[in-house]
Amino acid sequence: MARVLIVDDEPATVGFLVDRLEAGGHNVTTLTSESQFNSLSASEIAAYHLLVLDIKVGFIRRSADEVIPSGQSAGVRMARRVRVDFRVPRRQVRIVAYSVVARAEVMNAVRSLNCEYVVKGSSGGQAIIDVVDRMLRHAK
Amino acid sequence: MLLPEEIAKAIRLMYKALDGKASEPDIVDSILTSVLQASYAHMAAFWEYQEQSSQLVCCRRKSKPTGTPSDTLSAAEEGIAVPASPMNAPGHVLATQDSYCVANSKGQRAPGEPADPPCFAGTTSHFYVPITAVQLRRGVISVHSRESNAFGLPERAAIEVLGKILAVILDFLSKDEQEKEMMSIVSHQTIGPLSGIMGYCRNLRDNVYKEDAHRDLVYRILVSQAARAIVATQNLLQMSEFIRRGTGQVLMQECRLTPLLIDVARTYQGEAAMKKLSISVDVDACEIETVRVNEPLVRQSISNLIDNAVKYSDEGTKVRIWSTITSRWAKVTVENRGIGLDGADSKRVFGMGPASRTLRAVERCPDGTGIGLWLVARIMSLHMGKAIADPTDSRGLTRVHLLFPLNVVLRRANVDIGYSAR
Repeated sequence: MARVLIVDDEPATVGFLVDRLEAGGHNVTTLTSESQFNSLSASEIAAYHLLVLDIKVGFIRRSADEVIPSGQSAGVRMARRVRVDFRVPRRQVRIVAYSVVARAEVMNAVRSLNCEYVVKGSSGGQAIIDVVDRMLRHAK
Repeated sequence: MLLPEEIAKAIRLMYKALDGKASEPDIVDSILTSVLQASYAHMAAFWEYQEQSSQLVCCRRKSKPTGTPSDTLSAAEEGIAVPASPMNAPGHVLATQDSYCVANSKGQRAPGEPADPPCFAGTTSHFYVPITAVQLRRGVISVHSRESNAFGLPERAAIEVLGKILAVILDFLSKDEQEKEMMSIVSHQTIGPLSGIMGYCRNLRDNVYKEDAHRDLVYRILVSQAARAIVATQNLLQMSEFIRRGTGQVLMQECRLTPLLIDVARTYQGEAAMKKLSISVDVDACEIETVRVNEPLVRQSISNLIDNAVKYSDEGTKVRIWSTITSRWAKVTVENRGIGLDGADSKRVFGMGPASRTLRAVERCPDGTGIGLWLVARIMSLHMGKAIADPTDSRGLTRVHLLFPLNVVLRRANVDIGYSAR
């Protein structure tokens, strides 16, 4: 069974994904912020089969005390950390990044890092499930 | 003096800006150029756009359009450190060669800069007017003239008026942006739980939950997620409604205050019981009997204060509500004991959106929108009053007050002060 890391601060999304993946026998770890993700080493990240990243993690829960870096979205930065900084290839760790709205620059950035990009759209969480299920089939 | 037709032109330009056809710096450029230069042909007008990230500000000449790339001079070429911002991103034409300089936030040139930047060359007198909107300095108008003694009292007065016009415009544009951002955030918060509901529904269809207990838990999660979506939508509705009402006149009516406080407090009893809190209106301490206010809006304000008090109180503590009359204000106070509020936070909590929320508030209740207290502040300003928060005292008590002007009070508790409801 696969080892899956979810980085999202939306409890509902994390909830149904964890239920589904654990019911399927997968080993799931959850994080709620980019800073938690950044504390992981290259070897720790490479130990996962699949990363499921919210592009805008931290977007809603920010406050004036919490500085949100400008420019690229959190999900893109995390994916870049894996692919560019840690040089972890797609064949080793697959990455799914999702967001509510489709933005061309984000989509291109995610895809250029050999990651899957999902727009929740009108099917909401179901769109994430479809892609995660498909990627786990490949990961097995 | 400023010509009336030029002021009218400035107003027209402002409307053009509000249509979204011009950026904030561009609209100020246009207004300064058209108004000041038309009124005073011998003066050169500048305005300095203050960058939040640095003490340094870019000073751009407004008397003519930015030049073509061939006659521009970048900050790097000038050897001047300019903070990174969209205005001076690589490839962006900063200013023409004869109109570039750097000034600090007080409108003075930065230490070490050339004593006489090209844009000020040949001027013999100058005058600075700050552009200050809602206690925040947004920039400085620098007016220079080749005539000595060009700035008599009429000119200074006129330029100060222009500064005030620009401050109002900048403030208005800024609020417009904030409201758009808020709409975006609340929409996002609505989509979050709805997206979760879709995911859970898919899990139910795929028979992920084998046990009745687990399915029952998912049912409760679905209900709570639906409730979250409803609350977020209500917030959006309230905000848009309030923005719409804010532009018109508010209907004031006679209202008995203490029963209103009791009624609002009662709606939170269930939630308070879950947290083992007690909510009480201290009727004996209430000094106000009847007020002339917009009852639905004041109800909303009190509701938001109590909602916050319940959310951020520690388990087993008390939330207390009462009204008092001071020499200047008629006050409604909500007191609680919980995460607390320090001096700096006590001011910013009335701002709009997540940025107004304190870290402790975010940790205690991640799903807050940062709309509630902003709405309270707007409602109070409609009543010519204000909302304030006392920093948490040494006993751990936090008090938030609604301050109404005394003339809203029609009747004190047990004392008729002679106002009549009209």
